[in-house]
Amino acid sequence: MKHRLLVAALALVAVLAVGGVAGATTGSINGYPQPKVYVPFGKAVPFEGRFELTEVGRGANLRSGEMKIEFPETSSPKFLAGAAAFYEYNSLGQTETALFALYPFRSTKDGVSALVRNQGLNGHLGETLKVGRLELFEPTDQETLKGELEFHGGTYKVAFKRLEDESALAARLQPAKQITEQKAEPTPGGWGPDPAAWEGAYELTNAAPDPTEEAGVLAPVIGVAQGLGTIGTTLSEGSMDVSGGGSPTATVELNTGQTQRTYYLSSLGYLGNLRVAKVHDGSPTGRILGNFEARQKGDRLSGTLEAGLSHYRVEFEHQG
Amino acid sequence: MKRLALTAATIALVAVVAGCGGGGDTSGSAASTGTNADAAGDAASAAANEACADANREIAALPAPGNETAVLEYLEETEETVAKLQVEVADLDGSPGITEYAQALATSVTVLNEMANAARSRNPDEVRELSKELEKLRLGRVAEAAGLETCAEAPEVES
Repeated sequence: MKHRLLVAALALVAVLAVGGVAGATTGSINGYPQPKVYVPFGKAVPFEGRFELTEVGRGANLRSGEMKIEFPETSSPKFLAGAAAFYEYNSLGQTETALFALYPFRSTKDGVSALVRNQGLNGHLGETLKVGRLELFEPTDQETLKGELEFHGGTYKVAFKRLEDESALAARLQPAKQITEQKAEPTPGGWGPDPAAWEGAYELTNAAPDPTEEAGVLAPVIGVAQGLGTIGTTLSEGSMDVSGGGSPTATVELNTGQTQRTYYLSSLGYLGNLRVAKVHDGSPTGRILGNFEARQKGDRLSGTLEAGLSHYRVEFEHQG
Repeated sequence: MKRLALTAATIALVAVVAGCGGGGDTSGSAASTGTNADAAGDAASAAANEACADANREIAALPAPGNETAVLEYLEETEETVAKLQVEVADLDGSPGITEYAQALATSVTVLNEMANAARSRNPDEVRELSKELEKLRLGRVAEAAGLETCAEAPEVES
Protein backbone atom coordinates (compact mmCIF):
# COMPACT_ATOMS: atom_id res chain seq x y z
CA MET A 1 0.00 0.00 0.00
CA LYS A 2 2.80 2.37 0.93
CA HIS A 3 4.53 1.50 -2.30
CA ARG A 4 1.41 2.41 -4.25
CA LEU A 5 1.15 5.70 -2.39
CA LEU A 6 4.76 6.53 -3.22
CA VAL A 7 4.29 5.62 -6.83
CA ALA A 8 1.17 7.76 -6.93
CA ALA A 9 3.07 10.62 -5.31
CA LEU A 10 5.92 10.29 -7.76
CA ALA A 11 3.49 10.18 -10.63
CA LEU A 12 1.82 13.30 -9.28
CA VAL A 13 5.15 15.10 -9.23
CA ALA A 14 5.70 14.05 -12.78
CA VAL A 15 2.37 15.51 -13.78
CA LEU A 16 2.98 18.69 -11.81
CA ALA A 17 6.38 19.03 -13.36
CA VAL A 18 4.96 19.76 -16.74
CA GLY A 19 1.54 21.04 -15.86
CA GLY A 20 0.06 18.21 -17.86
CA VAL A 21 -3.24 16.56 -17.23
CA ALA A 22 -2.53 13.06 -18.31
CA GLY A 23 -3.81 10.43 -15.97
CA ALA A 24 -1.08 8.69 -14.04
CA THR A 25 -2.59 6.01 -11.92
CA THR A 26 -0.71 2.95 -13.01
CA GLY A 27 2.65 3.83 -11.49
CA SER A 28 4.15 4.66 -14.84
CA ILE A 29 5.56 8.12 -15.38
CA ASN A 30 3.30 9.91 -17.81
CA GLY A 31 2.49 13.48 -18.63
CA TYR A 32 5.91 14.68 -19.65
CA PRO A 33 6.00 16.51 -22.98
CA GLN A 34 8.33 15.33 -25.67
CA PRO A 35 11.71 16.93 -24.91
CA LYS A 36 13.62 19.01 -27.39
CA VAL A 37 16.71 16.84 -27.00
CA TYR A 38 16.81 13.05 -26.84
CA VAL A 39 19.23 10.58 -25.37
CA PRO A 40 19.84 7.91 -28.00
CA PHE A 41 17.63 4.94 -27.09
CA GLY A 42 20.51 2.47 -26.88
CA LYS A 43 22.40 4.75 -24.51
CA ALA A 44 19.30 5.47 -22.42
CA VAL A 45 18.19 1.87 -21.80
CA PRO A 46 20.71 1.02 -19.02
CA PHE A 47 19.35 3.89 -16.92
CA GLU A 48 15.78 2.64 -16.86
CA GLY A 49 14.64 1.16 -13.57
CA ARG A 50 14.06 1.73 -9.88
CA PHE A 51 16.98 2.63 -7.66
CA GLU A 52 17.70 3.16 -3.98
CA LEU A 53 20.23 5.76 -2.86
CA THR A 54 23.12 3.96 -1.16
CA GLU A 55 25.87 6.60 -0.98
CA VAL A 56 25.81 10.37 -0.98
CA GLY A 57 28.24 13.20 -0.26
CA ARG A 58 27.75 14.41 3.27
CA GLY A 59 27.06 18.03 2.41
CA ALA A 60 23.96 17.15 0.38
CA ASN A 61 22.12 16.54 3.67
CA LEU A 62 20.26 13.56 2.25
CA ARG A 63 19.46 10.67 4.55
CA SER A 64 18.02 8.26 2.01
CA GLY A 65 16.15 8.21 -1.24
CA GLU A 66 14.52 6.32 -4.03
CA MET A 67 14.47 7.09 -7.75
CA LYS A 68 12.56 5.79 -10.73
CA ILE A 69 13.58 6.37 -14.34
CA GLU A 70 11.63 5.10 -17.30
CA PHE A 71 10.38 5.72 -20.78
CA PRO A 72 6.90 7.23 -20.55
CA GLU A 73 4.48 4.75 -22.11
CA THR A 74 3.04 6.96 -24.80
CA SER A 75 6.24 8.70 -25.79
CA SER A 76 7.42 8.56 -29.34
CA PRO A 77 10.29 8.79 -29.88
CA LYS A 78 11.14 7.20 -26.54
CA PHE A 79 12.72 9.48 -23.95
CA LEU A 80 13.80 9.15 -20.34
CA ALA A 81 11.92 10.78 -17.49
CA GLY A 82 12.24 10.21 -13.79
CA ALA A 83 11.02 10.98 -10.31
CA ALA A 84 12.79 10.82 -6.99
CA ALA A 85 11.83 10.90 -3.33
CA PHE A 86 14.59 12.06 -1.02
CA TYR A 87 14.58 12.23 2.75
CA GLU A 88 16.48 15.38 3.61
CA TYR A 89 17.80 16.81 6.84
CA ASN A 90 16.75 20.36 7.49
CA SER A 91 18.77 22.88 9.51
CA LEU A 92 17.24 21.58 12.74
CA GLY A 93 18.36 18.05 12.02
CA GLN A 94 14.81 16.87 11.37
CA THR A 95 14.01 14.63 8.44
CA GLU A 96 11.76 15.97 5.69
CA THR A 97 10.45 14.28 2.58
CA ALA A 98 11.01 15.96 -0.77
CA LEU A 99 9.74 14.82 -4.15
CA PHE A 100 11.51 15.68 -7.37
CA ALA A 101 10.99 15.27 -11.08
CA LEU A 102 13.99 14.40 -13.24
CA TYR A 103 13.47 15.93 -16.65
CA PRO A 104 14.63 16.40 -19.31
CA PHE A 105 17.47 13.91 -19.68
CA ARG A 106 20.40 14.77 -21.91
CA SER A 107 23.32 12.79 -23.15
CA THR A 108 26.69 13.55 -21.58
CA LYS A 109 30.18 12.33 -22.25
CA ASP A 110 30.01 9.76 -19.44
CA GLY A 111 26.31 8.95 -19.41
CA VAL A 112 23.18 11.06 -19.00
CA SER A 113 22.08 14.04 -16.96
CA ALA A 114 18.73 15.47 -15.91
CA LEU A 115 17.50 18.64 -14.28
CA VAL A 116 16.18 18.08 -10.76
CA ARG A 117 12.87 19.88 -10.39
CA ASN A 118 10.83 20.50 -7.29
CA GLN A 119 7.32 21.82 -6.88
CA GLY A 120 8.44 24.08 -4.03
CA LEU A 121 6.11 25.81 -1.63
CA ASN A 122 5.84 29.25 -3.14
CA GLY A 123 5.27 28.47 -6.79
CA HIS A 124 1.96 28.06 -8.55
CA LEU A 125 0.52 24.59 -8.86
CA GLY A 126 2.14 22.95 -11.85
CA GLU A 127 5.17 25.21 -11.81
CA THR A 128 8.43 23.61 -10.85
CA LEU A 129 11.73 25.03 -9.72
CA LYS A 130 15.02 23.80 -11.04
CA VAL A 131 16.82 22.92 -7.84
CA GLY A 132 19.72 20.91 -9.17
CA ARG A 133 21.13 18.56 -11.72
CA LEU A 134 21.74 14.84 -11.56
CA GLU A 135 24.42 13.29 -13.71
CA LEU A 136 24.45 9.52 -13.99
CA PHE A 137 27.44 7.63 -15.33
CA GLU A 138 27.10 4.75 -17.72
CA PRO A 139 26.67 1.73 -15.45
CA THR A 140 29.43 -0.84 -15.41
CA ASP A 141 27.21 -3.56 -13.93
CA GLN A 142 23.54 -4.42 -13.55
CA GLU A 143 23.33 -3.65 -9.85
CA THR A 144 24.65 -0.14 -9.34
CA LEU A 145 24.40 3.32 -10.77
CA LYS A 146 26.83 6.10 -9.89
CA GLY A 147 26.82 9.79 -10.54
CA GLU A 148 26.99 13.32 -9.21
CA LEU A 149 24.25 15.47 -7.78
CA GLU A 150 24.35 19.25 -7.91
CA PHE A 151 22.22 20.22 -4.98
CA HIS A 152 22.14 22.85 -2.23
CA GLY A 153 24.96 24.77 -3.90
CA GLY A 154 27.41 21.88 -4.05
CA THR A 155 28.23 18.85 -6.16
CA TYR A 156 28.10 15.51 -4.39
CA LYS A 157 28.87 11.97 -5.41
CA VAL A 158 25.91 9.62 -5.34
CA ALA A 159 25.49 5.90 -5.81
CA PHE A 160 22.31 3.93 -6.28
CA LYS A 161 21.40 0.26 -6.03
CA ARG A 162 19.03 -1.19 -8.59
CA LEU A 163 15.75 -2.46 -7.17
CA GLU A 164 13.29 -5.00 -8.37
CA ASP A 165 10.33 -3.27 -9.98
CA GLU A 166 7.93 -4.89 -7.54
CA SER A 167 9.99 -4.34 -4.40
CA ALA A 168 8.28 -2.24 -1.77
CA LEU A 169 10.69 -0.43 0.50
CA ALA A 170 9.52 3.14 0.48
CA ALA A 171 8.94 3.20 4.22
CA ARG A 172 12.07 1.21 5.00
CA LEU A 173 14.76 3.00 3.07
CA GLN A 174 18.15 2.40 4.58
CA PRO A 175 20.21 5.49 5.35
CA ALA A 176 22.67 6.14 2.55
CA LYS A 177 26.35 6.01 3.39
CA GLN A 178 27.66 9.52 3.86
CA ILE A 179 30.78 9.99 1.72
CA THR A 180 33.64 12.22 2.75
CA GLU A 181 34.06 15.14 0.42
CA GLN A 182 37.77 15.37 -0.20
CA LYS A 183 38.97 14.46 -3.67
CA ALA A 184 42.74 15.00 -3.49
CA GLU A 185 44.96 13.50 -0.80
CA PRO A 186 45.42 15.79 2.20
CA THR A 187 48.91 16.75 3.33
CA PRO A 188 49.86 14.60 6.35
CA GLY A 189 51.69 15.66 9.48
CA GLY A 190 49.19 18.00 11.09
CA TRP A 191 46.46 20.49 10.35
CA GLY A 192 48.62 23.04 8.63
CA PRO A 193 52.19 24.09 7.95
CA ASP A 194 52.45 26.12 11.17
CA PRO A 195 52.00 23.90 14.27
CA ALA A 196 51.39 26.93 16.46
CA ALA A 197 48.20 27.57 14.49
CA TRP A 198 46.62 24.23 15.37
CA GLU A 199 48.36 22.73 18.42
CA GLY A 200 46.81 23.17 21.84
CA ALA A 201 43.42 23.26 23.44
CA TYR A 202 40.07 23.63 21.70
CA GLU A 203 36.67 24.22 23.19
CA LEU A 204 33.38 22.99 21.78
CA THR A 205 31.23 25.98 20.82
CA ASN A 206 28.10 24.27 19.48
CA ALA A 207 27.04 22.77 22.79
CA ALA A 208 23.29 22.61 23.24
CA PRO A 209 21.12 22.13 26.33
CA ASP A 210 21.64 18.70 27.84
CA PRO A 211 18.94 16.43 26.33
CA THR A 212 19.21 14.07 29.28
CA GLU A 213 18.65 16.72 31.91
CA GLU A 214 15.64 15.87 34.07
CA ALA A 215 15.32 12.49 32.32
CA GLY A 216 15.96 10.42 35.45
CA VAL A 217 16.40 6.73 34.72
CA LEU A 218 16.05 7.37 30.96
CA ALA A 219 19.09 9.67 30.75
CA PRO A 220 21.59 7.04 29.51
CA VAL A 221 19.33 5.62 26.81
CA ILE A 222 18.58 9.13 25.53
CA GLY A 223 22.32 9.81 25.46
CA VAL A 224 22.97 6.63 23.50
CA ALA A 225 20.09 7.15 21.07
CA GLN A 226 20.98 10.75 20.34
CA GLY A 227 24.45 9.62 19.34
CA LEU A 228 22.99 7.52 16.54
CA GLY A 229 22.09 8.38 12.99
CA THR A 230 23.64 10.30 10.18
CA ILE A 231 22.86 13.85 11.17
CA GLY A 232 24.90 14.17 14.30
CA THR A 233 24.01 14.20 17.91
CA THR A 234 23.34 16.98 20.34
CA LEU A 235 26.42 17.62 22.42
CA SER A 236 26.18 19.22 25.80
CA GLU A 237 29.90 19.79 26.33
CA GLY A 238 33.21 19.02 24.67
CA SER A 239 36.86 19.82 24.24
CA MET A 240 39.85 18.78 22.17
CA ASP A 241 43.55 18.79 22.88
CA VAL A 242 45.89 18.58 19.90
CA SER A 243 49.56 17.73 20.32
CA GLY A 244 52.13 18.09 17.57
CA GLY A 245 55.44 16.40 16.97
CA GLY A 246 56.33 13.79 14.38
CA SER A 247 52.92 12.11 14.52
CA PRO A 248 50.38 14.63 15.74
CA THR A 249 47.44 13.26 17.70
CA ALA A 250 44.42 14.69 19.46
CA THR A 251 42.16 13.72 22.33
CA VAL A 252 38.52 14.64 21.94
CA GLU A 253 36.10 14.66 24.87
CA LEU A 254 32.43 14.77 23.96
CA ASN A 255 29.52 14.72 26.37
CA THR A 256 26.00 13.79 25.38
CA GLY A 257 24.22 14.61 28.57
CA GLN A 258 25.23 12.01 31.12
CA THR A 259 27.28 10.03 28.63
CA GLN A 260 30.91 11.06 28.31
CA ARG A 261 32.99 9.76 25.45
CA THR A 262 36.68 10.09 24.68
CA TYR A 263 38.01 9.64 21.17
CA TYR A 264 41.53 9.82 19.85
CA LEU A 265 42.61 11.29 16.51
CA SER A 266 45.57 10.25 14.40
CA SER A 267 46.74 10.82 10.83
CA LEU A 268 46.03 14.53 11.04
CA GLY A 269 46.14 16.13 7.60
CA TYR A 270 45.00 19.22 5.70
CA LEU A 271 43.88 20.18 2.25
CA GLY A 272 43.09 23.85 1.78
CA ASN A 273 40.87 24.70 4.73
CA LEU A 274 39.85 21.05 5.17
CA ARG A 275 41.17 19.31 8.31
CA VAL A 276 41.00 15.52 8.46
CA ALA A 277 41.98 12.77 10.87
CA LYS A 278 41.21 9.17 11.75
CA VAL A 279 39.08 8.57 14.84
CA HIS A 280 40.23 5.81 17.24
CA ASP A 281 38.91 4.08 20.31
CA GLY A 282 41.05 3.87 23.44
CA SER A 283 44.23 5.48 22.13
CA PRO A 284 45.61 7.12 18.97
CA THR A 285 46.64 3.65 17.83
CA GLY A 286 43.45 1.92 18.93
CA ARG A 287 40.66 0.53 16.77
CA ILE A 288 39.62 2.94 13.99
CA LEU A 289 36.02 4.07 14.47
CA GLY A 290 35.64 6.58 11.65
CA ASN A 291 36.80 9.91 10.28
CA PHE A 292 37.09 13.46 11.52
CA GLU A 293 36.53 16.08 8.86
CA ALA A 294 36.19 19.81 9.44
CA ARG A 295 36.66 23.18 7.77
CA GLN A 296 38.85 25.80 9.36
CA LYS A 297 37.90 29.44 9.41
CA GLY A 298 40.12 31.58 11.59
CA ASP A 299 40.37 29.91 14.97
CA ARG A 300 37.26 27.82 14.38
CA LEU A 301 36.92 24.25 13.16
CA SER A 302 33.49 23.16 11.98
CA GLY A 303 32.70 19.65 10.78
CA THR A 304 31.84 16.10 11.74
CA LEU A 305 33.33 13.34 13.82
CA GLU A 306 32.25 9.80 13.00
CA ALA A 307 32.71 7.08 15.58
CA GLY A 308 31.04 3.82 14.68
CA LEU A 309 27.31 4.42 14.73
CA SER A 310 27.67 7.86 16.23
CA HIS A 311 28.01 11.00 14.16
CA TYR A 312 28.71 14.33 15.80
CA ARG A 313 28.47 17.80 14.38
CA VAL A 314 31.29 19.66 16.06
CA GLU A 315 32.44 23.24 16.18
CA PHE A 316 35.65 23.92 18.05
CA GLU A 317 37.38 27.16 18.86
CA HIS A 318 41.15 27.14 19.24
CA GLN A 319 42.12 28.42 22.66
CA GLY A 320 45.86 28.35 21.97
CA MET B 1 3.61 4.85 104.53
CA LYS B 2 5.76 4.14 101.57
CA ARG B 3 3.04 1.85 100.10
CA LEU B 4 0.43 4.64 100.55
CA ALA B 5 2.65 7.18 98.80
CA LEU B 6 3.28 4.78 95.92
CA THR B 7 -0.44 4.08 95.57
CA ALA B 8 -1.25 7.80 95.55
CA ALA B 9 1.41 8.46 92.95
CA THR B 10 0.07 5.63 90.81
CA ILE B 11 -3.48 6.98 91.03
CA ALA B 12 -2.29 10.46 90.17
CA LEU B 13 -0.37 9.17 87.16
CA VAL B 14 -3.36 7.19 85.94
CA ALA B 15 -5.54 10.28 86.37
CA VAL B 16 -3.13 12.40 84.37
CA VAL B 17 -2.94 9.83 81.61
CA ALA B 18 -6.72 9.38 81.62
CA GLY B 19 -7.25 13.13 81.58
CA CYS B 20 -4.99 13.60 78.63
CA GLY B 21 -6.60 10.77 76.74
CA GLY B 22 -10.15 11.86 77.47
CA GLY B 23 -9.73 15.46 76.44
CA GLY B 24 -7.99 14.76 73.20
CA ASP B 25 -9.85 11.72 72.02
CA THR B 26 -11.17 13.05 68.72
CA SER B 27 -8.10 14.98 67.73
CA GLY B 28 -5.90 12.11 68.77
CA SER B 29 -7.79 9.80 66.43
CA ALA B 30 -7.40 12.19 63.50
CA ALA B 31 -3.73 12.65 64.19
CA SER B 32 -3.34 8.92 64.29
CA THR B 33 -5.04 8.52 60.89
CA GLY B 34 -2.86 11.25 59.42
CA THR B 35 0.22 9.66 60.83
CA ASN B 36 -0.82 6.33 59.36
CA ALA B 37 -1.39 7.96 55.95
CA ASP B 38 1.94 9.72 56.20
CA ALA B 39 3.57 6.48 57.15
CA ALA B 40 1.94 4.70 54.21
CA GLY B 41 2.97 7.51 51.86
CA ASP B 42 6.49 7.44 53.21
CA ALA B 43 6.60 3.69 52.75
CA ALA B 44 5.39 3.99 49.13
CA SER B 45 7.96 6.70 48.40
CA ALA B 46 10.69 4.67 50.03
CA ALA B 47 9.71 1.59 48.03
CA ALA B 48 9.62 3.62 44.80
CA ASN B 49 13.03 5.12 45.53
CA GLU B 50 14.40 1.68 46.30
CA ALA B 51 13.03 0.33 43.00
CA CYS B 52 14.55 3.30 41.17
CA ALA B 53 17.91 2.73 42.84
CA ASP B 54 17.85 -0.88 41.58
CA ALA B 55 16.87 0.24 38.08
CA ASN B 56 19.58 2.92 38.06
CA ARG B 57 22.17 0.33 39.08
CA GLU B 58 21.06 -2.05 36.34
CA ILE B 59 21.12 0.63 33.66
CA ALA B 60 24.44 2.05 34.81
CA ALA B 61 25.95 -1.42 34.47
CA LEU B 62 24.98 -1.75 30.81
CA PRO B 63 28.02 -1.46 28.53
CA ALA B 64 27.99 1.40 26.03
CA PRO B 65 26.96 -0.08 22.68
CA GLY B 66 29.51 0.00 19.88
CA ASN B 67 27.60 -1.60 17.03
CA GLU B 68 24.05 -2.12 15.76
CA THR B 69 23.57 -5.41 17.58
CA ALA B 70 24.79 -3.91 20.82
CA VAL B 71 22.43 -0.92 20.38
CA LEU B 72 19.48 -3.29 20.07
CA GLU B 73 20.56 -5.23 23.16
CA TYR B 74 21.03 -1.98 25.07
CA LEU B 75 17.53 -0.82 24.14
CA GLU B 76 15.97 -4.19 24.96
CA GLU B 77 17.64 -4.35 28.37
CA THR B 78 16.72 -0.76 29.17
CA GLU B 79 13.14 -1.48 28.14
CA GLU B 80 13.06 -4.55 30.38
CA THR B 81 14.46 -2.64 33.35
CA VAL B 82 12.10 0.30 32.94
CA ALA B 83 9.12 -2.06 32.45
CA LYS B 84 10.01 -3.83 35.70
CA LEU B 85 10.33 -0.50 37.48
CA GLN B 86 6.97 0.59 36.09
CA VAL B 87 5.23 -2.51 37.47
CA GLU B 88 6.85 -2.05 40.87
CA VAL B 89 5.89 1.63 41.10
CA ALA B 90 2.38 1.08 39.73
CA ASP B 91 1.76 -1.57 42.39
CA LEU B 92 2.44 0.92 45.16
CA ASP B 93 -0.48 2.56 46.90
CA GLY B 94 1.10 5.95 46.72
CA SER B 95 0.33 9.60 46.12
CA PRO B 96 -1.09 11.02 42.87
CA GLY B 97 2.46 12.09 42.11
CA ILE B 98 3.68 8.50 42.28
CA THR B 99 0.76 7.42 40.07
CA GLU B 100 1.77 10.10 37.56
CA TYR B 101 5.35 8.84 37.67
CA ALA B 102 4.12 5.28 37.02
CA GLN B 103 2.12 6.52 34.02
CA ALA B 104 5.16 8.34 32.64
CA LEU B 105 7.14 5.12 33.03
CA ALA B 106 4.45 3.23 31.10
CA THR B 107 4.75 5.74 28.24
CA SER B 108 8.52 5.33 28.37
CA VAL B 109 8.20 1.57 27.97
CA THR B 110 6.06 2.04 24.86
CA VAL B 111 8.58 4.44 23.32
CA LEU B 112 11.51 2.19 24.25
CA ASN B 113 9.73 -0.69 22.53
CA GLU B 114 9.35 1.42 19.37
CA MET B 115 13.02 2.37 19.58
CA ALA B 116 14.00 -1.30 19.81
CA ASN B 117 11.81 -2.04 16.78
CA ALA B 118 13.53 0.77 14.86
CA ALA B 119 16.90 -0.68 15.85
CA ARG B 120 15.77 -4.11 14.61
CA SER B 121 14.95 -2.43 11.29
CA ARG B 122 18.47 -0.95 11.31
CA ASN B 123 17.12 2.55 11.35
CA PRO B 124 19.32 4.51 13.77
CA ASP B 125 17.84 7.83 12.67
CA GLU B 126 14.42 6.64 13.79
CA VAL B 127 15.86 5.48 17.11
CA ARG B 128 17.30 8.94 17.57
CA GLU B 129 14.04 10.68 16.63
CA LEU B 130 12.05 8.51 19.04
CA SER B 131 14.42 9.35 21.87
CA LYS B 132 13.10 12.91 21.69
CA GLU B 133 9.78 11.52 22.92
CA LEU B 134 11.58 10.21 25.99
CA GLU B 135 13.25 13.59 26.44
CA LYS B 136 9.86 15.34 26.40
CA LEU B 137 8.59 13.18 29.27
CA ARG B 138 11.07 14.79 31.69
CA LEU B 139 10.79 11.71 33.85
CA GLY B 140 13.24 13.07 36.41
CA ARG B 141 11.15 16.17 36.92
CA VAL B 142 7.98 14.08 37.31
CA ALA B 143 9.78 12.03 39.95
CA GLU B 144 11.01 15.13 41.71
CA ALA B 145 7.48 16.56 41.80
CA ALA B 146 6.34 13.30 43.38
CA GLY B 147 9.02 13.64 46.03
CA LEU B 148 10.97 10.67 44.71
CA GLU B 149 14.52 11.89 45.09
CA THR B 150 16.28 8.75 43.91
CA CYS B 151 13.97 8.41 40.92
CA ALA B 152 14.81 11.99 39.93
CA GLU B 153 18.49 11.09 39.72
CA ALA B 154 20.12 9.75 36.56
CA PRO B 155 22.07 6.48 36.66
CA GLU B 156 25.75 7.14 37.16
CA VAL B 157 27.24 5.81 33.95
CA GLU B 158 30.99 5.46 33.89
CA SER B 159 32.71 7.07 30.94
